[in-house]
Amino acid sequence: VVQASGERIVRVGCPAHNCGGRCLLVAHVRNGVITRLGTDDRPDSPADPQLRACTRGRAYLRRQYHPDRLRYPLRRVGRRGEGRFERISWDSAIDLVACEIERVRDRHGNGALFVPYGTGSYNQTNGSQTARRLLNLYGGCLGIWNSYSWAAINVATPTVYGTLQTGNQRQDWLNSRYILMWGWNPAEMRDGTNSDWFVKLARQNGARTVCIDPRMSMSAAALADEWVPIRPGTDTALMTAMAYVIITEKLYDADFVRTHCSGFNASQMPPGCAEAESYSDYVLGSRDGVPKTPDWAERITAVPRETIARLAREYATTRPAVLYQGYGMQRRAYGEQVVRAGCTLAAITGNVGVSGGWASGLALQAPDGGPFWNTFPIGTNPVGASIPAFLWTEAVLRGPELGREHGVIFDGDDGRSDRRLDSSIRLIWAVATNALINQHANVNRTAQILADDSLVEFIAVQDNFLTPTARFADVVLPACTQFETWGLEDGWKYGDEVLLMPPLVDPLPMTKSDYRICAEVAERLGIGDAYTEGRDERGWVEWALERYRATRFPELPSLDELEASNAGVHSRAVMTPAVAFTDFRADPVAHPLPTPTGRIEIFSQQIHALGRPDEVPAVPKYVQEWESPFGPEAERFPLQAIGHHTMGRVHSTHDNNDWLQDAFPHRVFINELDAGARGIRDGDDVRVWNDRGSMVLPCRVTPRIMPGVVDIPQGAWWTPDGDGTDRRGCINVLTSERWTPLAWGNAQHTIMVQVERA
Amino acid sequence: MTRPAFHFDASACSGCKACVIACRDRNDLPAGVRWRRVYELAGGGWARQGDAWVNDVVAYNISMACNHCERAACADACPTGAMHTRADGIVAVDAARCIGCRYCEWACPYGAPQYDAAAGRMTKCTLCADDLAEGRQPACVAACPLRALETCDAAATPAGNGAAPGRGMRMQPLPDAALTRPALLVTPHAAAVRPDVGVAVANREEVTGAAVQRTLREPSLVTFTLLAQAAVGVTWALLALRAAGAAAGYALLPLVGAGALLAVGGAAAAAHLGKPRNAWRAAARVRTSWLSREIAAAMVFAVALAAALVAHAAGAGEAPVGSWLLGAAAAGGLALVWAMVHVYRLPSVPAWNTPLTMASFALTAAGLGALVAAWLMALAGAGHAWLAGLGALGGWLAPDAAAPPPTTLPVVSAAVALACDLLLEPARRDVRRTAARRVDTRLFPAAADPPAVRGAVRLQSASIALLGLLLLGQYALDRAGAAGLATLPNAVPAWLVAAVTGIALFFAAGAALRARAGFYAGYARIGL
Repeated sequence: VVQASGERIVRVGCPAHNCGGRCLLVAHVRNGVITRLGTDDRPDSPADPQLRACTRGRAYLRRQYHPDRLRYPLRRVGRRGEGRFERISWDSAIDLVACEIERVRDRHGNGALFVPYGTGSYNQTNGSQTARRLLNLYGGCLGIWNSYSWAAINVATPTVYGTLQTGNQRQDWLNSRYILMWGWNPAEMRDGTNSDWFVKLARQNGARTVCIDPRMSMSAAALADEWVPIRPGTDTALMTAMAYVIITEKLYDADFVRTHCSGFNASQMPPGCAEAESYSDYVLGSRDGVPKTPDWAERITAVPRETIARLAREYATTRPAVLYQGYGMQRRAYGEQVVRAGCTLAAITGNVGVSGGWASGLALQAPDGGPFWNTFPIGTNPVGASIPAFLWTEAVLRGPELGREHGVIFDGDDGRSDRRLDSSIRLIWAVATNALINQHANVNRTAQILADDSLVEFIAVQDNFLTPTARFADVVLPACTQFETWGLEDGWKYGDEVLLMPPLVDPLPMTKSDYRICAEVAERLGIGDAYTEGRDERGWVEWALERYRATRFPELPSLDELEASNAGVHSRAVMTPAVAFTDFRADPVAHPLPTPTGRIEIFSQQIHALGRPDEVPAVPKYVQEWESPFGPEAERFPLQAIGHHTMGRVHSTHDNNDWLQDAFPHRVFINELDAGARGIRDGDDVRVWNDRGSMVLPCRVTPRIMPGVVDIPQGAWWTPDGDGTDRRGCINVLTSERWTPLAWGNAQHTIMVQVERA
Repeated sequence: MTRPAFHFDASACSGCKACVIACRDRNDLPAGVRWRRVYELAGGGWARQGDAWVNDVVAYNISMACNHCERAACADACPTGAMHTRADGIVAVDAARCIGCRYCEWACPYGAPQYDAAAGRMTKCTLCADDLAEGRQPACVAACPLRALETCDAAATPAGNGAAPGRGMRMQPLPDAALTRPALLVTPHAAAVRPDVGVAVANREEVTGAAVQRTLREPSLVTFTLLAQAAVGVTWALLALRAAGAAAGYALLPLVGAGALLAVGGAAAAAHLGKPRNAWRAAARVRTSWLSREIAAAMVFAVALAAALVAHAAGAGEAPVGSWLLGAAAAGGLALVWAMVHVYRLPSVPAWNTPLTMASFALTAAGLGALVAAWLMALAGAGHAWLAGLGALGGWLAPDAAAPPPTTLPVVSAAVALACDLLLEPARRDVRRTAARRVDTRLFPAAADPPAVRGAVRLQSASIALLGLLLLGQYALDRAGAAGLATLPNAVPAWLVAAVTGIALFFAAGAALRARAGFYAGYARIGL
């Protein structure tokens, strides 16, 4: 729409970076420059809410017009990781990438090629899937499964429910009477656009809300009636003690447990496991002699025993109730346990399959699993082997040793083979990712691995900026932004809409879309036509729209119509929110769960069969973490460090956005008592360190975090000085590469540190 | 008639700052200019209870732009009328008329006026008036992900802080709504009304403009107020001498000195303006703005002072016209001090809004002015040689050398004024303490007792002691002369009086400087 002033108003999906939202922007464009960003101005209702962009989206022009945008391809001239580059032409850059892919493929096989996990650009036509499609067409590459976000919850949820689709549509929260926001901070991390608003509406409808979190988060301040601080990594202990109260006071839904659950007590153990420890056995301590009382949990969690008992009674008796699990607590040692324990609480209180209730777990949205994330066809991978996303450094160091016990999935494997990877990773093509160094655990270790070019022989990085990852590139390919090319997105986990992303302005000269870059590499590799199928970016958007039309949105207008309407979004009102597991609830025999018993598996026979009860017990248990305030490591490193998702960034994206830094300056948050004991005052520069690394950054002394815990918002760009001390405050210089026992997932939040005045 | 107002639901504000960023983008605000700010309030603490941690921590946010008050303190303060209330109730800045004096910033208890240092003027929230006119919501309102910010009609709702319908709550640390009658409706956060836990602004650096911190123009304002008050005090001292029947011969040099002090002070005052060239507009609002009245009084004083100077130079100092003009200058000076005092009697600044400001300014004027007058008269009396060195000008300034300079009365007045000022120090300390308690939001860290003030007390005591010694010596010599001790002179020589009053003036000026710097450091605004 062109205004009289010559200004064009374009409604456009907010660029996607794996934040938890998918929102609508209203861009004002004049003379080829975006001058202003508004947000959704459609009518607003709970059924079809406005998709109001958050602070990050509203500050997007500072990223779009950042002076540091990459403006031409680069080739490394110094040592790898040193960050010295020279300008090269696109022709040589594309040649170099294509030649290296060919050379490494010929020398080490396709299994040596690798496109790492990354979500720096994350819509249907932009992001790493473009390179994955190319390599799959070129004979394949080493695949990945799972993510850094939801590793443990992805694996643990189906061990209880047989599915990830355990969530109701969010409008149903308005029917809840009690909401436990457990380690959940939707107002800041945006777990779905409007999730925070739905909690607000539920509260207005009379629901009591309690937030359990080591920090009094933005959500705790704005959405909760009560904040219950808890020692990080001990949530399962609190859940278990709540179960103790619920069981001993007979507050559980006995009928539902009898007909719908398995393994609750000795009377309902699955066949062949009659002698195994049931959930009640564990909670009551009938085998180990330790009843998991509130008293027991107080010592672990630092939550007062009366509070524990009260929470248990409130949650069990104020039905229907929601126990919503945040994801931070499953990015920890034994992160699978907290997921299974939360699902168990939901199950024994009968909050599964009812309106206003919540089954817990990952909670992809009923009735259809919600948004797609990715429709862009990456094809099948002829290599047929996928590693857990978090274990890629292992695949660099010792690929041929890795097999099933490291979580490698081989296509067509019967689960018993002793297959190993053919090769270590020898070429990395990192598209829109900073997970290669900044977001992966133990930065100093990763930097050493990457710097050794006898391991990974070639690294290409494709991004908008010279990120810490890009500094390790041999070739840097400058991508355009999502405002400069076609894109399409749907909701993130939740939502019933498709957002169109027409290009607003031309790409910066000498920058290209992810798809264009891959198409040119494909051309050099002789598979150009197979790659593009004759489509440009817009063509693929049209293709993806067809997919939506064939599935979730039969009524979806055509691309031409969507574009002409300038609506930017196609949404569907949710008048009657879907509730997960209603069929199962109504008739568990006719509609069994896709679990071995067909029931909610509080006891998992599959896990029992692993025979690793100390790390992966068959019923959810509290397991002391490998770095904890209760271990010997606490003598030198007495503080637990967590890294929450700050409003100032999406992971590491936007760390260089001055408006967001102005609004949310990066710093470590520390309790007044811990600061006082160290002579630290608000605003001081402090050193935070452990055996893996060290950083110096300003601090905020606050009562809003519990004593014994510090918080370094994750995602700051690693900026080592000459001594290797990070001067910016990337939490991953402190984190460990050790993975969780069942999901091979990242446990990056489990770290102990010390803090002193710098 | 409707009047647009903000409705802020503090109970549901997460502090995400989408409103802040949307405002910044919409209005192209430069760094440090924050039309909308989100204040994080936090308080409470932690204790061990067995193995558990218990706490009484509270935290909430206040998103604040401009409340377009019915009694806009900013507009009342504005000396040029640049800050004004439009017909539709929106308080706006007329950029062409703004001189960048930042007085509105002091007056507003919400921190709404925001100084644009590059442009040299004040700016502020416009309520996105052009959007409103076309039926769209202001950028901040349209942005709020939690729908915690809305517009409403101030005419239809009872305006007031925390006066949510049905609830008579007030929310810390918002000021009393009666002060300015803001077009603001607040739904308070449950934690905001807990009387047992004190809260403070926790994110000071995120809400203050980059230019606000320690750039309250103290140096230029300290200079201006001290020099102007000293100039006024000179005229008072001369008038008192005239009333006591002293000859006018020695008045000329003090009058020249007063003129010089006023000129330097005026230049210093103009220097702090964002737009010094617009300074001429500053007297435009004498009907509403004490700052305008101050400027107007300063002009009247300057004219009367110049006229008195001309009369004395023309030898008419002892004629009735000379006395009348001196009286006019002294009266103009009184008006100037009166206006100056009221410039600082801002309801938003409790440390200033006290009768002690009047006492302090008046005693400073009397003490410094009398000392300046005594010193210059003594200089003139002792300094024929150096005055002669100035040639014709020196001859013109040279008084009749036959009589000694009449310095006793000014020295006595100065000593008394300085001593009275010193006696008020405990009261001032009390006021500072009370004020600091009232505004303890950590937003403006109110120094209960600035270190500068302690130094001032010592210097002031030293100058009083010196003056006392001088008077004692004079008295002793008078008695000795009367006793017929002919070997001694019967008066302290003028050069010695010049030296001693000069040193006393140096100390007293230093003391006044420190005390005045402390006065500005005591600036701490109620509200946000």
